[in-house]
Amino acid sequence: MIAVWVLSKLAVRNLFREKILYNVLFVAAFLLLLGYFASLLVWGRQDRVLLHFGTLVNALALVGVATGAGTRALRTEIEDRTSYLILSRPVHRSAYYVSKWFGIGIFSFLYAGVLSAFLVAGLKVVGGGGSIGFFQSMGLLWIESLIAASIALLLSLFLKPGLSSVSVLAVLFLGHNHEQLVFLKNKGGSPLLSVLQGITPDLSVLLMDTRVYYELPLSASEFLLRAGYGMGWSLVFVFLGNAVFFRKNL
Amino acid sequence: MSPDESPVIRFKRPKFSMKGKVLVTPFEASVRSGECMAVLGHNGAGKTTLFHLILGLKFPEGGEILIGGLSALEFRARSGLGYLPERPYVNLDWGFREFLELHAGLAGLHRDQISAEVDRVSRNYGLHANLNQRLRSFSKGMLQKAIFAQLSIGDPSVIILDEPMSGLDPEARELVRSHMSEWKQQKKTILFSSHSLEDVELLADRVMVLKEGNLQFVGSLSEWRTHS
Repeated sequence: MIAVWVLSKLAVRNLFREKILYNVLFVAAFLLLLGYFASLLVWGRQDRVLLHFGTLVNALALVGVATGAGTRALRTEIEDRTSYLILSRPVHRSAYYVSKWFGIGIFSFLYAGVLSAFLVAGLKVVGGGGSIGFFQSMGLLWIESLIAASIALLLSLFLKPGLSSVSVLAVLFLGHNHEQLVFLKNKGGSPLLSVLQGITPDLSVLLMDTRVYYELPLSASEFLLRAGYGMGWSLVFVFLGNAVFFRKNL
Repeated sequence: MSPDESPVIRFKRPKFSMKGKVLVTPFEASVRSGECMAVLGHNGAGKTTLFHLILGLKFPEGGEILIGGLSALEFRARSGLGYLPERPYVNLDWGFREFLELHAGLAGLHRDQISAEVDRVSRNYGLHANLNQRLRSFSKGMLQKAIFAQLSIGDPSVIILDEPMSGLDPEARELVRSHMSEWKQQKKTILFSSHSLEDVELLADRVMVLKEGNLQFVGSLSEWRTHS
């Protein structure tokens, strides 16, 4: 457990050194500013326009960062062989693998915090503010970013970062269109659809959509249920990745 | 001081191949506790692969390597091994202190022991004044010494050195030799590879000679000279 904590801190520190993550933050802040200007073009509930736009920007930034971090965190250390010295220490391979996921989780939590602060500041300017529903939605987005990171870590064991990023986005796309997958499967589509439905999480569960804009928060039990569903899927991918990494020749 | 006769590392016919090429052919041998064993062979003979198998970085397809009666992976995960890789595989963006603190943390040292241990090992290798520098600013020789400093953290009982003298100036070589002699006196089990027979003569109790993944010889250097 100590090794997981030490290595997670290392993963977070390494992520803080990745310049591209600051670029993503800068682009997200710029898009939020654009959202603010867009909101000025409407009469009435300007905050809803900004909230709509801002939540989308935050979702893209958060998932993008988690995917980018997941595809590189482990792969880079394997390719640069910096993992050799770490794995000469009394560290279980599982601890090493899980710490990457944990580190990305901590980093994306901080990232979600910064993005939320930007958005709430913008909402205050246009007369709105952060509602419970908004923070619930950011929490579920963070869990989606954990799913993205765990899939990215798993795929990075086989694929180069570019290809694993595209594959993660494909899985997330399928996850957000789970209903259509089920519909097509029920219409007697290819057996592949059943497989796809089985191996992808239903990510619509983690989206609050209009509930945020109309300030209709989830009940505590429903929020926990949805969060648990997302976390469960993320842990499934972590478990699979760990099983592969455990016997991988480095 | 003669090494303890009980074998600490036992090679039980490990086999490893990659992309159809056999890199380590099954063989039986052992390294005794407290022994300093030199692994000799040309480039590509399988020395580094053998070290990776001991460290559990690679897994044998057949056979096994036992350390202290446990599988190599299990021993490493429990006790850790001191390891110096053939090249300085470190993240150069790290600071030297950060690098040592990381390894002290991984070696299981308590928070208040870490700083004393970092001070001790950095002084031992003459790098105390460089603690706040980034590894990127280190010369090749300094990096090699930095990795030596990290491997002595946590007092490992088994030490694997892959070409430890590579890139070192004569003064640093002397420093490394004296540390290796000290480890020998402390009865640590050492495996090292080298292309310098002078180092082997000075430090090794026995030699293990590999050729294209095959074990050719295990014994003393003088026996090897007679043999070859």
